[in-house]
Amino acid sequence: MTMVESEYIILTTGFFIRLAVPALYPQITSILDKSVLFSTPISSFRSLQEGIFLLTSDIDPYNGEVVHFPPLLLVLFSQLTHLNAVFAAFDTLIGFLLVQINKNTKYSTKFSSGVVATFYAFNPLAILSTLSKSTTVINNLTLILFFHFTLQNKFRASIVTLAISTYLTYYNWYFAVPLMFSIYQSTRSQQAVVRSLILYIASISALLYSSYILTNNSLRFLYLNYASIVLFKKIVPNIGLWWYFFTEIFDFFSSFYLSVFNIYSFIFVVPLATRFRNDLLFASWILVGFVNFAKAYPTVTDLNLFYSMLIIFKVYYKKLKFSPFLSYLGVILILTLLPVFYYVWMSLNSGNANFFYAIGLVLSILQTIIVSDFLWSKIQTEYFESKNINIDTIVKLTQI
Amino acid sequence: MRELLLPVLLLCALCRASVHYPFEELLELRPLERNNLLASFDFKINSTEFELYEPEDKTFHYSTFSKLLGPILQETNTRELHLRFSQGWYDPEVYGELPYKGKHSGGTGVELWAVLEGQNEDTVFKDWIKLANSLSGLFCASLNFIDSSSTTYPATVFQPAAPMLEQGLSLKNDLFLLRSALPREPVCTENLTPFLKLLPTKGKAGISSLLTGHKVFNSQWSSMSIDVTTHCSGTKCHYEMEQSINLILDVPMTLERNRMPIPKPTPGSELKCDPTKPFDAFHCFPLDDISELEFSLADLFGKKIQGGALLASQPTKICADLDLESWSMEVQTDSQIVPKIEQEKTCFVIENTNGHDVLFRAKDTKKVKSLKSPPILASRSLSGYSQDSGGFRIDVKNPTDEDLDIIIFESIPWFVRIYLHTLTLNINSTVTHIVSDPQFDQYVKGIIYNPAIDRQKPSHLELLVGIPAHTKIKLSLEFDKAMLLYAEYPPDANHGFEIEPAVISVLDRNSHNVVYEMRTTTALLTIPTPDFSMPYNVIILTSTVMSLAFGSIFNLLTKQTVTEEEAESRVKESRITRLRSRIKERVQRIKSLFRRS
Repeated sequence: MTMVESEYIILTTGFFIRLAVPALYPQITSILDKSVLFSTPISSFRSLQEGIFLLTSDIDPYNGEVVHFPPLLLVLFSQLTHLNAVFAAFDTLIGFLLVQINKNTKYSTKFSSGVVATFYAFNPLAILSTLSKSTTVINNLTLILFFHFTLQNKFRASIVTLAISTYLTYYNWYFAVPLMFSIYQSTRSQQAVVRSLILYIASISALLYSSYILTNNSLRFLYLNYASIVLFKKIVPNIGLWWYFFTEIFDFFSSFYLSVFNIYSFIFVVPLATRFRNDLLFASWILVGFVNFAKAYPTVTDLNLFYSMLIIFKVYYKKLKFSPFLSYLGVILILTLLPVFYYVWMSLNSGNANFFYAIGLVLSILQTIIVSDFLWSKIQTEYFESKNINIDTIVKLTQI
Repeated sequence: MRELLLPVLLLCALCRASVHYPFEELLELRPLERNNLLASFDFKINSTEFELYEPEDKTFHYSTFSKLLGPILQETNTRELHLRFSQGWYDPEVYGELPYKGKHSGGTGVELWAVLEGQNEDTVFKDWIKLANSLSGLFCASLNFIDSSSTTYPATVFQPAAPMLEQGLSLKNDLFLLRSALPREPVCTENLTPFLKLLPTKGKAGISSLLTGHKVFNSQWSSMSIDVTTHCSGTKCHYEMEQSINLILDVPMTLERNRMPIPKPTPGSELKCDPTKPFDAFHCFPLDDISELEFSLADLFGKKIQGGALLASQPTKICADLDLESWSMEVQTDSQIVPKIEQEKTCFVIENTNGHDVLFRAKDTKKVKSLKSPPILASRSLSGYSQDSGGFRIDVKNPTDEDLDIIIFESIPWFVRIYLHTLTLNINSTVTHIVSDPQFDQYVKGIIYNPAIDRQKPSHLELLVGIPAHTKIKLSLEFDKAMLLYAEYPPDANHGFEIEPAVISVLDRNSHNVVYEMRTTTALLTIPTPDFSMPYNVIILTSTVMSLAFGSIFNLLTKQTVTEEEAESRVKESRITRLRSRIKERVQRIKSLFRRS
């Protein structure tokens, strides 16, 4: 059996696991969908179902404030049946693209395709994310497809993918910056960048315009899809930093802090792209991690993309302060504590919001540590490479 | 001066005897099971005629119609006004169907709906807010809290009662029906006083003299209603106002409270225990309710009727619906009055200013006229135990032999995010259909759904349901609860939020008119609360984590990477280090100078 075959077999096994679990235990979707880890009002499966129901029974889904999905996605899903298979296929595709990206990177050390496939196919975070059927899975798929195309220098495809991705989720336009840098890196022409930018804006405009026509010339979907995120309109507990802050902040300061938080989530987009313009995959990956930390409605499905892509960057494991195994364990530990504290607050009433908030804060700190650890490791590795020193020589580095 | 006064007074006395105003009042009493008594006070008032638009004569003669209410209605272009104040729980299994088939009964708290005339929704809504604010001042109720987040535009229920256009009057603008309810409002004596002020008798004469706050609100259930409708013929219009108060009184409890204002436990010697069950000094199963009763209106209301309303077009009438085999009624006044039997009811009228009291004697209070059972029995409850989500469950039973069409009206606040696709119908606890099933439409024939908008609009749901005879249906709906902002929580946030009662109307199958109307109880919903002592801690901790992340990543991205040795040597070369070492040298030199000396 060759290596190529084994990774396909593993991914197929993963696909069947994702099919078998909801077939044997159908309640799992609603359980996960109601869990604070996997669902937010923006991306939950029950909102999607509500949207599909309203659409099929001729009630305008964008009249109320339950549906936060772009119109085209709703129309697509209203045509789809066998959603278990659809989501399983989407997730398996993510696994497949992860294997492809791993193959195509120029890193000196990397895991074999089989290992990457195994890592994704049997990753509990990935499996649970799929079973929760949140639309974040589709967001992850478009993002990883975008990374895949960019890495292969198929820029037109990657621009269109990114446009679709931006159409689905507000934050994804941040990735246009590293994309433009990669286009410049490979073509060395400013014209190409301008042309790509025009293509990107045109694709988004086409999508938005078709949605505008689809919703009977109403712009309300713009408010529901994007402004609700930027203005943080749905205050519901999640694993991020925003919700408790904006619940507790006095109304007077609310708009000021909204702008601060939004600028904060964008602040490292350009610096990361300029600093790592030789390795924009890495810059994008760090950006995924930072946006997960700074975005308004993060879920574990968002984290899943970051922690799954971690396997690609084996080359940087050597210089890490904390081994990826350790940080993965830490994340899993926090992710098991989060629902416990949520349950203690919401159902048992024996704890209050502070318990859940505190654990969420620890998760955020952990994410920061992992991101900066990888950054430092990358910077050290770059230093060794630039000085042509063997990576294993003991040289203590510092920054001034 | 004195010589003049006497003829004027005489003249007035004459006119009082001869002129009658469009006002009628009626008190009906009806003993119910378990020693309860239903007292229905009903007042009907008509205004004088006026022109709806641009009256030539700007002066308006109110006569018996309240001068407090008239200008408010004219100012806000209100064509129909319905106001309800209710409290307590109406148990249809004990009390039978609602008085007046539920036409005058509201849900717990305050309910207001009105038909307003206006050019568009915006101007009408402004008038509506003005109306609510004016009524708020008039009735000492928190109606000023009515805003767009609690206002709905009912589509099939609460439809205008008076046919405005019957006489060919062409309206200049459109009519809009708006409704709102405040389920949390405690109804109390400060709402009763303005209610009585609207009457021409002002609570000083006629049956309204029985109504005092501390007696009315001691009842098991009470509902006050005001309905104003505009009736036009040609270009002339007049208002018709019907005010009613319905009370369910627990007679033995009221008598007990008269005897002993501060309740004390019954002493052991007076306890009547059930002899068929074991009883001793420590155990006692009290006997059933008292079956012999003697009480008067003064016992129940604390006062006698202070004479009749002499300005009324019809004399004040008091009726009692009694089972005459075991009940008797005696009018106590200066002159002899023998009650007459009218349509199986025992009635008498008051035509003078003397005090009247009515004494009821019952040999066996269990023998009452059989109750009319309501055509529909319904209740609503909350399901789920978590603070972040839950569900509504509405149980409706059709005990009659006919198939019924009902409308379930719900107005749910925006922080309850309902999912209509979870609407499930269960028939007789056996068959279950979800909303997307084709069989679902056999029972639920129509759904009107206006989803909520945060802080602006409530969810508005009207379901037209057909219930076969002797069938029980269960409708359930799931929802999520949103968190509010810090300042939006009321002072006692953990008490929960009242969800206004669902309104269930039974329709006539042919004419589609509402033939019976009832309301469920309010639902108390707890929503997730933050820790209210935390704002500064949260702001500080969150900001710390964010700046920590920013600082470390910013440093990593901007600083130059060097080896530690290089860093040390660079530090040595730096200006500050050189400056410091120079200062150190100087200090050393000065020190050594001192040592030498």
